[in-house]
Amino acid sequence: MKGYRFVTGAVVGALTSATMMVAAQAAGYPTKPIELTVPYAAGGGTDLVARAYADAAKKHLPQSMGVVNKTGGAGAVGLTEIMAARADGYRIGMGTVELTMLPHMGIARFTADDFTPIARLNAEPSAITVNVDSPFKTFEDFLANAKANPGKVRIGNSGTGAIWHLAAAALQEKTGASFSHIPYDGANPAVTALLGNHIEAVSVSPAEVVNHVAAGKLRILAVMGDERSAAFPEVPTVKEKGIDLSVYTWRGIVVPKKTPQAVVDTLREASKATANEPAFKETLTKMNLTLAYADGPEFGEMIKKDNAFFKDLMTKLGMAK
Amino acid sequence: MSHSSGGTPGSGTPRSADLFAGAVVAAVAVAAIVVSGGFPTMAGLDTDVGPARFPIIYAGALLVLSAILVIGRLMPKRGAQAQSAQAAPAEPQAPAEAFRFHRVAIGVVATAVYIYMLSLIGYLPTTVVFLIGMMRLMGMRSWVRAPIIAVAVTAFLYLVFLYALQIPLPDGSLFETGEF
Amino acid sequence: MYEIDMLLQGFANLANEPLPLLLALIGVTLGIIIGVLPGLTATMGVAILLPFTFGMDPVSAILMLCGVFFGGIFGGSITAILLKIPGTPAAAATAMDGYALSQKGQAGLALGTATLSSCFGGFLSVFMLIFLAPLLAGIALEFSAAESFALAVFGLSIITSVSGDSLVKGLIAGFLGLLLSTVGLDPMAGFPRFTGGFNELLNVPFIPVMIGLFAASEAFKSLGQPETRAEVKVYIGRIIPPWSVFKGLIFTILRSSGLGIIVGIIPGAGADIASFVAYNEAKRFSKNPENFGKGELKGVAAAESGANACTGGDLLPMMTLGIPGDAVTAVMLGALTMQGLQPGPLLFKDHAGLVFTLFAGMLFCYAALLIIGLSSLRLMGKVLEMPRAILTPLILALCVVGAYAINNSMFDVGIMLAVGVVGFFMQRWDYPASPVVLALIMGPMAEASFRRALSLSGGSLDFLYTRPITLGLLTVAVITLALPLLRYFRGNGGNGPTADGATAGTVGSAK
Repeated sequence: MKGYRFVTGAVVGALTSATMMVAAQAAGYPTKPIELTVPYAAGGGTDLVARAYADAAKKHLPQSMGVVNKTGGAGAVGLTEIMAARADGYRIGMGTVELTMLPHMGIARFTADDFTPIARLNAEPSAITVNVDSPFKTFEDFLANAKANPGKVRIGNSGTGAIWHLAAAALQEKTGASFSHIPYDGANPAVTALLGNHIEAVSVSPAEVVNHVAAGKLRILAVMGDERSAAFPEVPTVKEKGIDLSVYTWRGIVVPKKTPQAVVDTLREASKATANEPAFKETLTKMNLTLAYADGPEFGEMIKKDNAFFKDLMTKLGMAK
Repeated sequence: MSHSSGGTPGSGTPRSADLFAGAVVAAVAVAAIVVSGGFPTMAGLDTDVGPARFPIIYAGALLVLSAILVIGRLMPKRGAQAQSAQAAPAEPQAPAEAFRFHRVAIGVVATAVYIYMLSLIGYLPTTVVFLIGMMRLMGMRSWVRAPIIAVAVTAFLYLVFLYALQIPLPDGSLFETGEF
Repeated sequence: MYEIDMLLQGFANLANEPLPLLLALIGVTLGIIIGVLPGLTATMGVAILLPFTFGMDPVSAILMLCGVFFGGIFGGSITAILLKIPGTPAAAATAMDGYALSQKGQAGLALGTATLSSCFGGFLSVFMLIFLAPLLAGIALEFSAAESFALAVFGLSIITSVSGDSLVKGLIAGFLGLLLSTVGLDPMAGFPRFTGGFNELLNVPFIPVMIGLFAASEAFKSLGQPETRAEVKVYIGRIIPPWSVFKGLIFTILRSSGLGIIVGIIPGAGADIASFVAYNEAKRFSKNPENFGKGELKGVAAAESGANACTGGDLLPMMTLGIPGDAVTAVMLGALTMQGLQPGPLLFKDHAGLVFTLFAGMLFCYAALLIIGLSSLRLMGKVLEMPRAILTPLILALCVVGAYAINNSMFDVGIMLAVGVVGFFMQRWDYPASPVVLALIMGPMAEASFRRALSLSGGSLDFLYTRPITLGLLTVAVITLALPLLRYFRGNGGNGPTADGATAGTVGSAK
């Protein structure tokens, strides 16, 4: 596939570079294929978004783009690699919300400031989901019960220190309720435990439970987003319930900090066009993912905000180093 | 031995080897216990045994086991038996010739150098050289067959990984900026 | 009967459209190749192939992935038998008896038995998927952390039965593996343990360790062996076991398949666990357990049918409940979703025709595996005729690329080399490698499940004896542990803890 992309990319590139020249302002960049580093394993959600992006970007760059998975260390290995790459725009990366979390845990050699954001592609909020047999019919029920029985409500998450654990912890922080946090090895096992009624709730994204909600096995009580989820317009946000909280996981293109402005601009323009490609949109929809395009500066604002938010939260939880 | 029956070159374990291995295992266990002592006891969850508990249990078991191994071997009777076992024919097929440790050592060092050079100057040149060298080490003296096989294998692996598995093998950090 | 009608309909659908069948064939072939290569697992094969399938129709896409999955699980056994290099973790159980059979000149018989057992296990598991899916799906949801912990303890208890003649050395290898399995982020608190500051060590480098332990150490050993050995005539011999031999294996295969299916259904447990569990039970039920590890055909049959029966078991909760039990099925779930099919109860209701076409295709995949497997075995056996001067360098080169491929990381290659050296000495000094693999598979599961169960129960240890499945599995684990210990202490009189060397020598010379 990649080889195929190299070959066709080169041919298509040669044919179209004269006419399209998105890259005009970058003094010929790119003149060779670009490598997109993904810090997670092949076949996972982040990998599939990256591959869909790389495929769709072909039309908007004179060179092809190949995906390389650099896995390990909850994303730390790949993100470090992206941070340390030669800042020439030929090795770009798929940044995820973990780049604003891992630095505070003392297990990363980078900080959120080491990256220049190009474009956010996707974002998913946290959601409180319960089994359909659960006595909690509404978010208020759920919260009242957690407050009345401290530590009795068990919320499954995708791993300690991972995004959905922090989402549940933030909810606890904001409301004064007390949960018991149960880490699982990823979102899927947590959802399985919820289906088996071994825990009371999960804090994973709506996308990760949509199948089971559609099958009538699970019920989403509230989403921790700025607005209601398009897939579940009847589910309220916690903001509507008077809790000022929104926690998102996101994925987007980032490059090392010292990348020349001209290269950054080229990539930004290409990414904007790519995010509007019908093929890219369709792939995200099929995966139950939400397209959430944001241009570099806006994306950067969000990274800054998340970085401060997680630093504060993790310090309060005693997880920060 | 489930794993080495008939396949192990040396059929008995020398007493010194068991004592040495016992000491190494005990040292690893002690080191693990010392390091685990520095792990935080409660990291956020009050219904948890903490990150140190399991490593310490495992390391404790290793200490006991290495003690059993060493003590068992220090008993005089056991030593005598091991000596006789060691003296037994090393290789059922070829009892005459001894196991060549120096070749293993050369092979290990060569592999280490190969791996190091691979990250520097890339997969293709290093693998060809490594394969030719290893084949000569193994007794293949032909200057025709060895290079042909080496080049063919290297090219085959490179292409399979690049095209079929979409895994580009390293081009070498020295040539980072070069064209593909 | 509804299922039979639908299945026949499914076969008819496939017969009308040969493309999915062709892709399934390609998938099986690719899977076998991926399985044969050390380090490349079925999971990786499925993940790599996934983007290729996006443009295909659902049946073609899923069947091709199933082909890779099935072929990948089987392929690992070929090198395990011929060279004692398991291509996948599951094949580590096959290597124990398979390689011993090769040494006796019965490589062909071992390979043939492995192929037949794999396919039988696979067929049975697919039939189970067709006829009993709704009935068995519930097992997956019964399994919470407490049950997973008990399963892991049971798995670890198997170390005693794969330790060979020296229980102490087997246990040392096992506990070293367990200690190694605690390297990385601690499963509950997220604290980095024994990483020395390397991000690469935040996860246990399981695959590089396995390649080093089995393949690299074997290559190093081969470097030191005198050349004369290469001239020894090795032959493949008969491939398909005679009926009189196969008859004796039927019960083993049936039992192992049943175990494999159940292990597959359990979330978090895959083919590697299934093959060891099946091997252990085959040994337990055998009249001659002492033959295991020395070339017992039943050991090969059990490990292989267990591992491949696991495939249908794995797919069951994924298709019926939409919950993937392991990494392979998580990727397959993604593939189904990308095809616009939402796995779960609705899949069987809304797309029954398609589901049964898939089932028919899976049966076809296993038929293809049987034919491709049996017909390629003689070719594969040629490996034995290859001069060691070519084979050994080739294995080392494969070790390097295999270790690199899993994470695209040179760090992993370094680990592979270091473990290879350790593995070389382990082999020379009679420390078995299988306990390390078992420990690396079960260790993380044991620790994470125990601590998760403790959190779930609010800090109480009640879960150890109040849950029937947990209690049952723990009891079986205690029995598994107690038997060899009993034998060991009884036989301790004249034959102390490290008397293994002499025994191994006897076996070798008796050859």
